[in-house]
Amino acid sequence: MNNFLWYLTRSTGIVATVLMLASLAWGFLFSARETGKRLRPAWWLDLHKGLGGLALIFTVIHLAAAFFDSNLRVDLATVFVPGAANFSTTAFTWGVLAFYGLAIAVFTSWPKMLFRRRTWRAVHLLSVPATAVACVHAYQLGSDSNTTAFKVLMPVAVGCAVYPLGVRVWSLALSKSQETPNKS
Amino acid sequence: MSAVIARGGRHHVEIVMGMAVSIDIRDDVPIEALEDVLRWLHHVDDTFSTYKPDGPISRFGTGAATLEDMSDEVIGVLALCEELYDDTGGAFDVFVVPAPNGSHLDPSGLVKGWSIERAAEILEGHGATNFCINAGGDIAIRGHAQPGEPWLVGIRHPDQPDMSAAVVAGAGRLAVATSATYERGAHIIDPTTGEPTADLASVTIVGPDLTFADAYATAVFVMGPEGLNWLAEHHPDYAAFIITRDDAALSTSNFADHRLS
Amino acid sequence: MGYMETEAPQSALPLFPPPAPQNAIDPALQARLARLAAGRAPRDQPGATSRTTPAAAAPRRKRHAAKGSRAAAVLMSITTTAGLTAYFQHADSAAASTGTSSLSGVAVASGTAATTTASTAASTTASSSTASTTAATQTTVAAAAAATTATTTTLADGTYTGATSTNRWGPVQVQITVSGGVITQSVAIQTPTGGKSDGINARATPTLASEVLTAQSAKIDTVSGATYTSESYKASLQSAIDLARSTAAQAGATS
Repeated sequence: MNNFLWYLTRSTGIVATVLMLASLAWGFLFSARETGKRLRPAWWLDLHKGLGGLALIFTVIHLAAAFFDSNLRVDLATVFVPGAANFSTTAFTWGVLAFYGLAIAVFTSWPKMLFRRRTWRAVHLLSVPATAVACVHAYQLGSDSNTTAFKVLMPVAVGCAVYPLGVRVWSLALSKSQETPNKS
Repeated sequence: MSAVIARGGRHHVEIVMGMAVSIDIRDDVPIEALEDVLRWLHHVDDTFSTYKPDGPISRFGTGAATLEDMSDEVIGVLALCEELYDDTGGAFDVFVVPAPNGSHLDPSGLVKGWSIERAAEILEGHGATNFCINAGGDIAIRGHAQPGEPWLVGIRHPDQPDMSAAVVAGAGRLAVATSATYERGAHIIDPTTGEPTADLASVTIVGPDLTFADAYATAVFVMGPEGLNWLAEHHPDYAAFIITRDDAALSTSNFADHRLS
Repeated sequence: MGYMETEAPQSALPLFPPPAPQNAIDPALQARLARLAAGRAPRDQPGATSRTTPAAAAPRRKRHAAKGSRAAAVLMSITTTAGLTAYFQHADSAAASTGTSSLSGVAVASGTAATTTASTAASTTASSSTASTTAATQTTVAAAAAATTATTTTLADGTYTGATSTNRWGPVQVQITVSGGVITQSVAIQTPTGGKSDGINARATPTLASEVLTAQSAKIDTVSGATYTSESYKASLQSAIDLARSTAAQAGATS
């Protein structure tokens, strides 16, 4: 079972990326109140948090598997220090940054929400660039990124996450234009 | 001079077609053999150079002349280019490369290997059996370097000009062609995108005929690592050795048959 | 440079044979060339290189989620991971079983891989590998990095191929060459993945140890490499070889 860790690295990497995209989508749909009849159902937020947490768990498994697979020559510095990889440095750096971004987004919200709402939101939005660089990392480094399945499914997954982002930005713009007269 | 010929054959470097052509003959051959080769190379330069606006290829490429004005030699070369276009699925395309004469026709990717292969035939016609012609890094080999000893061909390391990344041992009829982007200003255009290709540092093809080895090197460079499978499937008598940008070496399995180290 | 350069050929007769006779050119091809030269018509796309499409994974349908959605997400993630892991394993073992007999393979010769796996390869050779007879052309070229890792001196001369393992690029077999009881060469041979380059990803291969690449003690007759200008020729290894050759020839002439 020498290769098990290698297969696990690949599969958890893929799953973690999809989970990040899904969490992002759910988060934006939630904050845009595009959640169906009831405006902010609790289970929706639960699912968003669950997806984010799962993404982090799978990322940690991904990192551990990569580290412990002796064939991969991924050391602790490669995993934790951006730019420390001996090869494919850029691609690894994206992965490390995505990991930190995700960890920050999760642990500033759970187990309890840190900072005031404004600060928290700014910090939480780190998850957007984190997800983006995770996708770049997957594309640049993933051994399966040259397969047709990846080439088809990845844009679909990204599209599924970008759509709610657009919805959220749109709703933000709408609320801005409505709120402005009342404010002053 | 006769002492030289008796001892070491003939060795000559000619600057022609914009590059250095080293001709290393290890047999006793009359001086005419070398003279014929040099005249042939200059003839090719006059005919196919894209740097000479009055040459046939430039006039055809820029529309100043039609196909009817072209010699059978030129048409034959262009026909071969088109065969290779079809064969490589468009990866080898002489009609997209921007040429120095302003046209979009530059067959030099084929002409180089083709003319050296013809030059080897000229030498053979003069009775030479052991020689090596190196035209700007593309090599046609015949016979042996010394009795019983194969020719040893170093493949240049992409980052270090004076180092070899691998050594190919060849005897008999063999061609070694390398396409690379490490040369300053050199680039290989991907015909499908019109952009310079970026994945690979160098592609070396080993096989019987330099005409095709040279063209396949260009095509595999455009195809990227996928090109290894294309070559293995379509031309199993040719072997490829690729060095990627991050200095990894990939090769078709039959490259091991040629590789010394 | 060459001693011949001072005496350029003078013979005026067109002695060189004309180029090989060309076959009659297809009129259709002539028309095509004319069109291309005129830069008018777009090309007819030739048959694209064969690309097989792996069966696309079934699209995941996400309906209106119920309250158990979180548990479902956990379950789905774990199932997907397990499924992918099993699939990768299956794909690799299938490739490994068909790969060794196929000729249309892809070999990866990586210095780093060779260095780190040389010791394991050495241990596997004792038990499972078979000596092949390809050592005939191997001279005593010392591949420095590999040689330093070979501490066992009880190896019999020959070429050994280890058991298939899988690394970053897919299934790999390490092949070592033993000469004089010392590993003189070690390469990782990548077995093909069903004729496709599934296992290759040029974007993510580690750096080749330059010692292995450059430690060539063999005498080289000529160098293959893109040398497109006379400037780069002057700086090239080939020009040094040419210089040495002509110097040797001149020395032979004067002695």
